[in-house]
Amino acid sequence: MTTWGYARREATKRFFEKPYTIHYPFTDIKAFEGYRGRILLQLSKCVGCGLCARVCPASAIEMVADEKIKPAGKRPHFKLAECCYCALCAEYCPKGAIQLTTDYHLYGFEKEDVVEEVKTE
Amino acid sequence: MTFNLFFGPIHPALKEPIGFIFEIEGEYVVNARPNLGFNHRGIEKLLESKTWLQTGFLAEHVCGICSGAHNGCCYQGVEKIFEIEPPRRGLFIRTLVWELERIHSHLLWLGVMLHEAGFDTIFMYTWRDRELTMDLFEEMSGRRVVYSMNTVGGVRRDVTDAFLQKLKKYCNYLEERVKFYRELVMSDATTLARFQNVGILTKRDAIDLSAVGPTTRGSGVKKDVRYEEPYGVYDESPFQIVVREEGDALAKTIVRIDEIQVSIDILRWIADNIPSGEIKIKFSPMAKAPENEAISRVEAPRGELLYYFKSDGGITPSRVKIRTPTLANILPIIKMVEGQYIADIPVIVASIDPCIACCERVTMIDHKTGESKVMTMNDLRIYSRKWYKEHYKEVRRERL
Repeated sequence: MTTWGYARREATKRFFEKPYTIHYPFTDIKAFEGYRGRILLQLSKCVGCGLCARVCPASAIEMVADEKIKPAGKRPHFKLAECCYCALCAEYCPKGAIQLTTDYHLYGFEKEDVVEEVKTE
Repeated sequence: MTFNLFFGPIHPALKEPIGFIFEIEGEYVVNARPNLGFNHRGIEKLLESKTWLQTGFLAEHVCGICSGAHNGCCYQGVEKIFEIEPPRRGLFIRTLVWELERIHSHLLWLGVMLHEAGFDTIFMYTWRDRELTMDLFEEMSGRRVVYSMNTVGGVRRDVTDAFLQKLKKYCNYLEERVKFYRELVMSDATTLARFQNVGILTKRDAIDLSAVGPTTRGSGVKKDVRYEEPYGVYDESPFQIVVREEGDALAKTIVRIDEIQVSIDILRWIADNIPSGEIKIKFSPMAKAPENEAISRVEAPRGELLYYFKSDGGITPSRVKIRTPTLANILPIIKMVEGQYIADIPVIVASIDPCIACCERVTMIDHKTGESKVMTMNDLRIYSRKWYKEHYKEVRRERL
């Protein structure tokens, strides 16, 4: 087929199609199940062992003092601006206290503003 | 007297930095001098401070497009250090990631290559098809670009049957598209005028300058790690090496399009033959390695990728060396641009699928007058399109 033939065929075919792009800020895009987004820490399950901070390849996890956590008295704090979202912390957590949610809206005016979601119950 | 054309860096934040000085006479390029090393990130040194399990997650940040190849190649080397063998299902999924990544990389490149030639419709089409690959990656691994699929001794996530069905459907769709792109590139007058007999790399030069990947396969050299030293499950898969003899930009384009077809065949075979069982073996995050050294080679989308590991018995490697494919493909550019028009520089540089380049700035120095002029890559692209509009008829007569 000649170039003109292609052009005509493509133009007629595409003319009746819907736009392929999504109007993103106005239409929400849902991430697939299993997406590695914002980290969710369940404080009720955490024992403060610090294994997550040791396995983290990006050194994005800091152990901060928290009296409510027993027996260690400290809990992980995730600096998500430094995180590489590899989910090793969730994989190696012995109590299953760390999960990665499908929330991909990770933004903030300062790097320190982008942090994990903490669930106390 | 020749005229110097400075082609290159530096803007590390935007596209990738590389510098070229092109010596030109009139409209013709006489010689090229590449300058590298504007964006040294010290990843090899940093890898020495990571545990064996953590190495792969840093390695995949070396390149955004072949992150799966870096991640897999790195862990393949670590497995050689520990002398462990991943389970078969793990190897199948690892190969699936590598091939799916090759498809996405080649589609991306095809779009960029035709964009350099001014064919933006195909740029939109290929990137739309690539988006579906990215969706598959997101569903399989949880991220679109940095997959983190591999680990020491296997892969981290299993694939479901529903995913494999989806993959097969995607293969059917993509096969049609690839046929369309191939026919179009081979028959369209614009692509033929811009690519045919442009930037020829002879077989002798490709061997002498140690070119790798589709750049060398476009020049008739049978060089592919999957062919020379099969890793993963390539020795059983229906893999066929794609070689073309011409050595010009068109041959490199066709090699890559045909490689997408080969990847589709391998993906179909994987979806049909994937065995059940374990996907990984247990590995301690603080494991100490035996004293050993290992070399791991993988055929990344751009060519041969090499990782070297040395262990002195600790929990971290004592030396890591990475050789990325683009480094091997920089020198062939010198031979490819010799005697070509300035307007062909974007196409020739793009034809090696540069992972460092996408050069941001160009300086032109006229040897006759001593004048120098700085141009951005975008200026050069606009210049080349204008030049081709004016000289299209004569160039077409010359080339076709």
